[in-house]
Amino acid sequence: MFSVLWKKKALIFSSSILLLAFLFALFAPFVVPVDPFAGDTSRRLLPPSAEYWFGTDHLGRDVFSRLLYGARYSFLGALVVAIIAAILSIVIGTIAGYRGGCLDQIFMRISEWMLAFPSLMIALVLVGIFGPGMLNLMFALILVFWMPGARLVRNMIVRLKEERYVHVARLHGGSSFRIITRHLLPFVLPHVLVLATLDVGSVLLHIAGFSFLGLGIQPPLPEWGAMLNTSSDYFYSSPWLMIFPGLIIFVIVLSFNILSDHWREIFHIKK
Amino acid sequence: MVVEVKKVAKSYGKKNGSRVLRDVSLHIEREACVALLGVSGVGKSTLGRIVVGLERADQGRIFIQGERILVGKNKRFRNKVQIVFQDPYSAFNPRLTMAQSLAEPLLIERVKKRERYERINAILEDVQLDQELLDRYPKQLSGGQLQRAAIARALICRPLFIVFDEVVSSLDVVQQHHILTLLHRLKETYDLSYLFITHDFQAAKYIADRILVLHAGEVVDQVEKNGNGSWQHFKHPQAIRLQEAVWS
Repeated sequence: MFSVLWKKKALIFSSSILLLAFLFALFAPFVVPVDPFAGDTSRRLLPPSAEYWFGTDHLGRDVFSRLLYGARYSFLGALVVAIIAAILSIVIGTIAGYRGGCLDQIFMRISEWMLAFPSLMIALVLVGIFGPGMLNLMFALILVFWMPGARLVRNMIVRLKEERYVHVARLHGGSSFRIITRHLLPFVLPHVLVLATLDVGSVLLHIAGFSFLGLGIQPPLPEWGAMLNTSSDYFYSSPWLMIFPGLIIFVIVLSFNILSDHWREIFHIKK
Repeated sequence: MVVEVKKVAKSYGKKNGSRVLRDVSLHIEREACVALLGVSGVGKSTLGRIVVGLERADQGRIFIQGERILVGKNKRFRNKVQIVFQDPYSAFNPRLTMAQSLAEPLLIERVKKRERYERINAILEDVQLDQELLDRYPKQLSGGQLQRAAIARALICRPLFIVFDEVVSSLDVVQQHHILTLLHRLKETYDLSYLFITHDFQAAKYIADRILVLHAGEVVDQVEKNGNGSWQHFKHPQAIRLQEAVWS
């Protein structure tokens, strides 16, 4: 038992970090030690200390509290985008793959067109159209991230629907909904789970990146990327302002990647 | 007449694609077993799939008890026509236990739990399968056991007609004999009609009342059992070749 746990220590460690981040994101207003929005110029740019664990920023706000509160935007935002994108990819991929014909052709052409451009560029264009802001950024990222998953689902459904047991289920009079939910999706969902887990990390980097560029979440909201952006002027004098948000983004993205790898192992999915 | 196939034709690919079936016609009476004999690739399985409504024919018509069958329609006949495939492992959802797989047609029919349980047990007895196997997954059963389970699943929805597509080809000789005997007995018990697709002349002779020989997408010969149990003689060279191609 202990040896199994030891082998899975990376999984346990990353899952614990993600669970903690999730809980902080949910209950941030109740757990932050100091109001993350309250500035005090008398305590600006203080280094990490017992009182302010991660120091204070240029407006005298507690960096630790802002990081905890920022989980609501960066972590929860990325999670919501990845979940909605995964649901969309399952629905669209399943309909296209199962129905086939004209619908499938339209889907394939759209996805090919989208694959021709880097996802960052498409998101950048969409954010440019919708304008900066949390909801607009999330909407743009959903529009970018649903497609690879939908292609994966569509391809799997096209293959699986020709399996003999699906033909048998059809002969038994099973409805399309029953065939999809009982005989097709149980094989597809583990793959989507792996991809979606990997996507959360990627979406988080996108949110942070866009906020860093000033196109995502706007100050004074304490999004991790936006915190990096506003701290860039003080990097040499107060490096903790960039080190801690950078570190937390790194740890969270790494944790999602480790979790995704373990899902892959658990469900015997080839890379 | 349970099944009537009229001038069915099928091609794969576009206009100049390969023609698999050309004007195939056959009929199967109640409680009759018609064997469809032919070498690999002559279109036997395609015809089987067209007959049960899994595939669309380019031309021709299929009638089940006088009603024309169209792919994706005729819900009334949906579970009255069944097919059992050659490879039983691919015919079962690997994520479902045998109990779940056998209950599936009954769940679709909205059969109550108690009746479901009774019908599964009865059918297991009929195909001589142990109830202990119900909790197992397909990969935990032998080929013979799984083929019996596939037959049980086809029978559980009380069909009129079953297509057996090379059901004994992947089994050893002993299992082949057991399955053929079982099919023979079940046909009598449940008043079933069979289309038995095979390339094995001996198996066809054992189970069928009539043998049709399919060659290059056409029925080139057919023989029936005489009153004394002997068989009429084939006339077509391909049919004779098939008859003679038995290991001595």
